[in-house]
Amino acid sequence: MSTRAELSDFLASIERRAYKHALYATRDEDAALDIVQDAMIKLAERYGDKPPAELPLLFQRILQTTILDHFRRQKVRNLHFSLFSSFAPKQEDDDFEVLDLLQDEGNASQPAAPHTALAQSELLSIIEHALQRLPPRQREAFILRYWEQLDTAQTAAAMGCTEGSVKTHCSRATHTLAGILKAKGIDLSWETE
Amino acid sequence: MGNRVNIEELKELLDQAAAAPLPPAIAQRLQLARQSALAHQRRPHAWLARLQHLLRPHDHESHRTLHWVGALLLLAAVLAGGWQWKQVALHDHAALDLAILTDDLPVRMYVE
Repeated sequence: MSTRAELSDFLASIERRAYKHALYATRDEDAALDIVQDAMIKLAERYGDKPPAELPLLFQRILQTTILDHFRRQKVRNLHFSLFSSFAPKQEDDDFEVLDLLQDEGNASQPAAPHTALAQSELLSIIEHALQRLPPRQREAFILRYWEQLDTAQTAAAMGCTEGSVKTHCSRATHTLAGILKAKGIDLSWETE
Repeated sequence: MGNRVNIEELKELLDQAAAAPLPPAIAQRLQLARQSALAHQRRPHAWLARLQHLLRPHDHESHRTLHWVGALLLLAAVLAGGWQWKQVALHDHAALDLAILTDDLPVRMYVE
């Protein structure tokens, strides 16, 4: 069973990644914060007595569900929009310019040389923007599989789908991402399983 | 730009982004979210918590308590088993006595 300190340490260790994860999905800071808070409370309420080793996967599953719930509520609120248009507003994407990213103040990567830092900052912003443009399920599969480093079975459990679906989502996400990045002058090389 | 990234570099970049300091307002909200979650933490029943506490290796005193509890449980199990065996034997004897008194012994009993 997790003690209060263990649960607190776990939540502190994942809160930033969870926030980023939710932000990639929603592109809305307030919504992302609400999602993280909901997910944390659900984890503590339902699984606060589980051993610490079980918490990461449980939290990922809860986070996915909470993000999905957010989109469902959003869909109900915006009945006149289709599901996909509510996930990915076109206008925002079309306005995207690489030069805008140079003014990104929320980026604190720490390489030594300023030009390297700038290049990394720019690259990161392009990648984050590309991630946000992926369809929701592809983005979830991609993030869980390649960022959170879950295996296919764990990703399937977190997403509530089959392992085959995870592989399909990851493959499509890879191709979509490579296409988006290619248009920005970045070659993506993947070592797929 | 002429950049080339692979999956490991992409993961590192995302890790860096997640590790970067957040604006104070967001960091504060995340901290509040954590505290709120901790206030909702599910707790096991008191007796279960006590048992888990005993099962965890804490100190010499806890070990002694655990040994006493284990010995008592073992003794209780042995006594319960003996009592159960005695009850079964008594029941069998009573059934046999009844059969003899009512002259209702099965034929195989005479054979044996």
